[in-house]
Amino acid sequence: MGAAAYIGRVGGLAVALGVGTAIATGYGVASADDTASNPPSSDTSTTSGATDTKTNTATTTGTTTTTNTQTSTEPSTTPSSSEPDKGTTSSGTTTNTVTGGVVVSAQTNTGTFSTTGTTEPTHEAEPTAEPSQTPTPTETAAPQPTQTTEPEEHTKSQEAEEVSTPPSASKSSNESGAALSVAKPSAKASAPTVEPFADPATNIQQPDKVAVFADARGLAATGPTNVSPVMAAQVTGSPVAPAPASSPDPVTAVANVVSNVINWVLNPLVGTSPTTPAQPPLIWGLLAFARREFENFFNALSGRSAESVAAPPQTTSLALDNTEMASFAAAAAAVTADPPYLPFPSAQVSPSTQFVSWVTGGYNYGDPTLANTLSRYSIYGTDLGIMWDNGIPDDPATLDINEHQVLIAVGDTFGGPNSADWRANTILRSSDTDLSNGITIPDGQWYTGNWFGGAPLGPDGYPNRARQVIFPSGLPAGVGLIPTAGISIPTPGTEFGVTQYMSFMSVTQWGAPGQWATNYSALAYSTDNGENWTVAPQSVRYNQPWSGNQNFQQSAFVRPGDGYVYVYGTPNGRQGAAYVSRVAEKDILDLSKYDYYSAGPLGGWYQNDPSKATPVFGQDTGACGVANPGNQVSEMSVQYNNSLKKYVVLYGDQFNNIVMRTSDTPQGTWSSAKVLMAQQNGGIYAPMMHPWSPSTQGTGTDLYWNLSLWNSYNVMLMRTDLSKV
Amino acid sequence: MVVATLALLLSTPAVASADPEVPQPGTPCASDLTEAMTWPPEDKSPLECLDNQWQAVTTPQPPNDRWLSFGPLITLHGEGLRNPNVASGDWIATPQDANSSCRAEQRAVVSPGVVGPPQVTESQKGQPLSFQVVPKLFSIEMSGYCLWTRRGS
Repeated sequence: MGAAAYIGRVGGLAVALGVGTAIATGYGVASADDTASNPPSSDTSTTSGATDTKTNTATTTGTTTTTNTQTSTEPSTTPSSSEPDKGTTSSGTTTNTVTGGVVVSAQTNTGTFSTTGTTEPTHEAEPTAEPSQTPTPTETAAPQPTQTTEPEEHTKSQEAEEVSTPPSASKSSNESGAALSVAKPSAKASAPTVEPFADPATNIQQPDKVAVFADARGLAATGPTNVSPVMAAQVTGSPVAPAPASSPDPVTAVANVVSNVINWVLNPLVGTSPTTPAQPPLIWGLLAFARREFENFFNALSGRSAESVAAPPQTTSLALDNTEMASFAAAAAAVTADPPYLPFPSAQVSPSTQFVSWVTGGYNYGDPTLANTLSRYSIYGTDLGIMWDNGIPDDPATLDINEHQVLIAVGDTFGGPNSADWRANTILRSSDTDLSNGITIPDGQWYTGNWFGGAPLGPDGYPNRARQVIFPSGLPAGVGLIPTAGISIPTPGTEFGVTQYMSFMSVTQWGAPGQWATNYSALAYSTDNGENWTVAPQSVRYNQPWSGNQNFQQSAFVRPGDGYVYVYGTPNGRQGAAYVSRVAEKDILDLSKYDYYSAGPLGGWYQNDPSKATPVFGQDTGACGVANPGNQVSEMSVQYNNSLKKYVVLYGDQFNNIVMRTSDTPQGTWSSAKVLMAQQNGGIYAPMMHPWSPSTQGTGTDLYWNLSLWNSYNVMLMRTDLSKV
Repeated sequence: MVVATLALLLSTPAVASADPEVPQPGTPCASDLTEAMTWPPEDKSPLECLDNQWQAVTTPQPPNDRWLSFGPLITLHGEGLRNPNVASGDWIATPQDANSSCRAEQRAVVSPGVVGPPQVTESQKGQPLSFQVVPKLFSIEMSGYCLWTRRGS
């Protein structure tokens, strides 16, 4: 209804008030003002929230018969115009001169870009030329051969944007799964860019001192745990800060003022006459009527429906009937309702961070593509949920398939409680760009030739089972093959022009929480969107303490678009610090081509010598350093955040808090750790950022990330508003 | 008075040799069970006997060397999975009454994602059971009213 339609009602309201008041009070004649009231502006715009209706039609009938054969062909890239690292030697010595074309990257602990012309030390082990850009049709500009790598290139936000641009809106809702029709609230109409806001990690937040993860027994003994685990989860969570108050609505404020004026005008008439009752019911009815009319009027001006307004209860609620009271209660409940299957006492686990929904597990949200992985993929429980952009552009010719997806690597996966249906790892896929209500995962594709279903399936006879995808051969056996990181790199000439790389660790033995031993870490790659994977033996890093490779047993990848993949590493377990290496994109499988960053006065990038790597974050020293948040690094994820214009890392620390650090460059200096959420009952770990988060894309402040909860043993989606950290 | 006493006697449930009641958080536990754990069916996390009470533990725990099974099997994980409940080595299961026997069914990891066949060991009624928890234990099902203790702990 247009606001103009309320003009007549306003007049009617005036008449009703005047006549009604006269009747009710018995004296004082109110005359309705017949002058034209100022009509509301007809320029009020109406906003229509577009509904993202997913109407995917599965076209999986009787097409190509395919086999899940392993692809053993290594991805190849087209020849580069110049070979990186040519002619460099790994002498281990350093000089303080800059030779032509040498990549100088010794970022000292200033935390700022070294653009002041200061000469940084150069290591002979440095690559003598920047790696040529891997040819891609839409990739960022290739680094100049003679250009120093850092720091300028790391500020090119547009590069990172192009690396992980989400699917176009026209196809974004088209999952490649089975037929479904899902209405989701639209959240895609965000501005293309936002101004960078304050780096939240610069303000140091002191976390609550809690027991460390490994000493949880003591924590449990001292905590209020004399209740069942379910009840304990309800009562022993960390303190929950109230959600920040929303900014006042000017229209609502005006409506309240008008209502108050009416009250002020009429109240002297109420109960002041010795001949009238103290609270004439008709007057209260008139007041309530007037208030509702004004609220409806101003709601119409603001484009809101009356039902959507959670009107606060008024003192005149005596005049409200039960229906109205019920509507108020429902509106209030709608504002504060927690999502279903809440794992924590409140969805809002900290002022900045809240639970969104489960990603895996047998949870049913109505939308069959949200969670619901037990019936569709025999996933009763799993963990990790490492996400990366598959780098495959959507093919407009395949209307029912959105090839541009996020791949989600998970770890040990079980088909039921204490089930022997165990997969050491598997892959999920999603094209969902609206993360505000969870991550939808389409149904699987069973022998259709479509590699864009929700998960690789199998073996034969199990069309509703996500299958294990990493099977090393000729390498030491262990008890686990756990993914730790993933990334895609353009490889023209391959099936989709992109190759997926996944780092994993071979676990030999699990110990106390946060402790485990590894055989090695290695890379596996896939040229068919993660359907089939091949382990690259040349990428194996055995866990040998003298080699330096012991510090790269778990990984995190970031590919900012400067021709390098930055590979972060930690030792096995959660007690170590983080280190960083880099490698030209095309050489990611060749360990001899990696550079390792060493901090300090003689710091810089050292080629092919992992023992040179020094901690870049997660190893605070000093008397109080060990008590600082973020002092140890667990499973982690790293991104370039286009809203912050900084690199961001998330990980669990020694207190089992989830913390965040930021940096201007991949190697640091990294900020102090900021706690996003404190330890929770059940055991949280592995914060894995979503590459299509609005803040990552530079279109908002929300950062979405997966989080694992041990006692539920599943992956959930969390949202952090970086402006509130 | 007589009638009341008789009614009371008749209403008292007969004591059978059934399994003892599964503990709940807050229920008492004997002092000699201090730091022993048990895992009620359907619960997401175990209970630990502390301060003579069974208390829920809310975070992942290190492998525990004493577990109490109340009859129905409890399933624990070993060092073949993240956050193991028990460590490998020599264990002994002691029946908590003369009519109980202790039974352990272990499954070991063959390779990541592959579980071996079950290995069962069981004691006679009232007799202790000595056995070895395998190094790459995937799961162990403990049943009987027994206290399971890792030797040397």
